[in-house]
Amino acid sequence: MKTLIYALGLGCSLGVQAKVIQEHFPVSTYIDKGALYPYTLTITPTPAQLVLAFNDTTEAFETASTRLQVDTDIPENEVGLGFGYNLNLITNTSECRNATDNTLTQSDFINLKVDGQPFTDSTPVLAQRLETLNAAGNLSGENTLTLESAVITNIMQVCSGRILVEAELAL
Amino acid sequence: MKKQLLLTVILAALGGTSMGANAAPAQGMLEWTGFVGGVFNSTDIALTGIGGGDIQKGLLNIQNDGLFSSQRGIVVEAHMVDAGTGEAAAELYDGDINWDLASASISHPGYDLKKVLFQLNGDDLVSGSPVSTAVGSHVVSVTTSYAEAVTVSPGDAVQVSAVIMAEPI
Repeated sequence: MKTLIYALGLGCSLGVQAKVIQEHFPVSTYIDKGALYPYTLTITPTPAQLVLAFNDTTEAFETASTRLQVDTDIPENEVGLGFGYNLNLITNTSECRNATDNTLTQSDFINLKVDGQPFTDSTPVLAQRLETLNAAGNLSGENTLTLESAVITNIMQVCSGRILVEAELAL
Repeated sequence: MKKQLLLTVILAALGGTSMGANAAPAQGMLEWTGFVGGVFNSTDIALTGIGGGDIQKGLLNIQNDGLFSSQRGIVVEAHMVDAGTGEAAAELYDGDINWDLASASISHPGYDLKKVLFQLNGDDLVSGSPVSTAVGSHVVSVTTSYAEAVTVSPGDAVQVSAVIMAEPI
């Protein structure tokens, strides 16, 4: 029985060797061009702390803005490579607590815009151009981050929030 | 419940710099604070600002070493309550009042809330040790101050709030 099986296997092997094999091998690949360059960037909100004024008429905090300054160490002579950056929203928390007993009364009531366009964790700001030079002579960019408040439904509230924005180099 | 609750908001901001990050991708953090004022009237006392108007926000003078004091006092008046509307009547309250500090907060993490001082008509206002005013003297001035050096940076915002109760004696 063992001999018979071996003989069959040998026969199959010989048949394969006689056949022409044709295969297609795709050679394209993804290259992260941003990783090819040693450049870094920083993002600086100015101011980094805001005190929102409450409007008794609209029963909401006044709209406020901060400037997002994006600086890089990319020298001016690299401008031709077309460097840019994307802005991603990592965190946008907001909450109000009762000033007398600290109970949470309201949360997630701040909406964000970047240069007038909605900015959420699912709506990043893409392909921003690095087309100005900062004081160090390197490429930089700038955006305006705007905070818009929904109606605050209670009085005597202590409210606060935190916004974390990420900037990534793009080509 | 004869106590009155009053939220006094005192705020100030310095202009200037910011924070940054050195990584790829980089991150920048923005923090904000805000207070919503207001008054809960009881059946006895209604609190207002000057002349029966809204209670105004204050401003802080902040020095380079972090010390601060009120630029001017926040004026608060204790009125009778109009029985029909439940709002402040024109007349000031006709009895003596105890004013007490119910709670307070400060937005800047460099400050110790326990060391934030409040004054009512110049007298220290400490939780549990009310300041009294007699009939005819129910227009008071509320101020705040901080007497120890704190590290603050240009651009930092400092906001102080207090909940003050007015109770008939």
